[in-house]
Amino acid sequence: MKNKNLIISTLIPIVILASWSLYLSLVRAQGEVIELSIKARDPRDLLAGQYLTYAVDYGNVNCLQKYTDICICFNNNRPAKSSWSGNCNNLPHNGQCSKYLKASCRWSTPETGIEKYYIPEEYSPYLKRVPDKSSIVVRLDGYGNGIVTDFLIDQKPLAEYIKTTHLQQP
Amino acid sequence: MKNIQTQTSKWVKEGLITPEQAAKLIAYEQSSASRSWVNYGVMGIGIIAILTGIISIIAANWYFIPATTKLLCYFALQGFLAFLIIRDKGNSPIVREGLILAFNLLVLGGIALISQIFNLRGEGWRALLLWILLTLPLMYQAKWQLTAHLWMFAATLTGMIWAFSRSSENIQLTSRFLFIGGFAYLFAAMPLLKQLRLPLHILKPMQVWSYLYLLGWITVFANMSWAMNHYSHHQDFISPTHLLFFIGSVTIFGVAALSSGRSKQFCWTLGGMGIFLAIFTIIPITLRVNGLSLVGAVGSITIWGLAAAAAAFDNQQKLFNLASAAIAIRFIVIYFEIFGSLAATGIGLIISGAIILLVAYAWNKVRKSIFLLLEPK
Repeated sequence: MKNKNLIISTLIPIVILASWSLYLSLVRAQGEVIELSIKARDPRDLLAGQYLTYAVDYGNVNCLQKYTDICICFNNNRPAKSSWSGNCNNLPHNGQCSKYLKASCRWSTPETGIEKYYIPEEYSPYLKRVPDKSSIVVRLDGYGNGIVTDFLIDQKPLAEYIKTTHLQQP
Repeated sequence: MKNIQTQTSKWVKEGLITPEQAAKLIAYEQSSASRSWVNYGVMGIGIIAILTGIISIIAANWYFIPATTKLLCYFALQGFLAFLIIRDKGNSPIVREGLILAFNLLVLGGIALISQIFNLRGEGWRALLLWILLTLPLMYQAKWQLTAHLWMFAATLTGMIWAFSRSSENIQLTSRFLFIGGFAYLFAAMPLLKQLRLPLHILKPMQVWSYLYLLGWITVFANMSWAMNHYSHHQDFISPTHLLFFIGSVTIFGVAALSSGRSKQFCWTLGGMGIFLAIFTIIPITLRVNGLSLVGAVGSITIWGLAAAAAAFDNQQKLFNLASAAIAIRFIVIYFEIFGSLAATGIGLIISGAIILLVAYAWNKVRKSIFLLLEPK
């Protein structure tokens, strides 16, 4: 009995974390793709390691009230922009909103949880802030959540851009 | 070990114990040497050093390792630790507890790894909340208080980080404190409820952290609420839900204290402390009675005094020392609140230092006699 409890206790975190990883991997591999343009916001969040934080340009989003949750639907442009935003309970179901993200309104800025991207240590000298013409590739899980899968600068992946252009070291 | 041998030799010489009793004491201490906290501390340092070294090597080559490899290696390591824990073929308690501690710490590492690989943006309190939920069953299975202390610390930290996080910005600060305070009361009530049959390795840490939370966090917040003019100038909305939750938790705590089955003095003192603290917290924030520093100071000293008395009635010397030390510190703070500007001068600094030494001396002298007076006979 004691050993059975121990087995269950050790398996619970492993099974839950493995399921979570698997779900995120599936979303990353098969989720609907959108590209969103981004712009500089804060300096890097040093407390969270090598993460670049930025503001996502969703386009015209109705975020008039602070501390409300909304949904943002996206068009098929590249980069995508908002085609509708509002209460998630009123989400259009007529095919207009096949791609959407849930957002929390902090003052007038919507936040969807995709405002952070991990960058490797060797790129950090080149990226004190988000360069112009930057965008992120996001995979959607169909339930309003997204995972950032790529960081593009002028349509090139980050690593390639840094290698091919000669960014001035600060 | 050498200490117990020296002590027992002294006692035998003084005729306090017989040589046979001395031998039994030494044999007992030798058999329970695994409970030595020095062993635990050294083992803890070793585990942390190994993990830090592994992390450093991996960090240096992090970007070049594919995400799938990272995840597979993590789960392999986690699974291996699980296997060692389950196998437990007569491992010494230190090894078993060390493995459980390493397993739990690695779970936190796993959460951070998944967040990094998938660029998940979440506040720290979410990761900690997930961690405490995932490691709760194993924490229960451990025998080592350190594992439970770490878990309780993480639980306390989760609440504190949430209170100041972006997620809770839509809730007024006062309501957040009431919400967390309610949980602190529930935590403090649990060790008193015999029906829960909490194991000792969980009971003690739960007592320590819940009372630290109540005495160190809620009491200070209440003291500041009385002293500052915040509520008379601002219209903070106190959420009725959070207020009711706080009152409900206080009620549960009061009932648990009064029905704990311990000495009457303990039950009434502890229950009284809890209820007094709740009233002391609620009055300034609901009735907007503020700018009364003296009331805040006297109230907080009363609360710590009641907590110290309850600890003494229950023969809990460490908690008594903690609560009485808080009183001593509060007197020093009062001195600096009134005469703080004097500390800018040389004479003032000397007087301040003398006051601090005097308070420390008085605390050391007086607390022992008060504890002996109050401890159950």
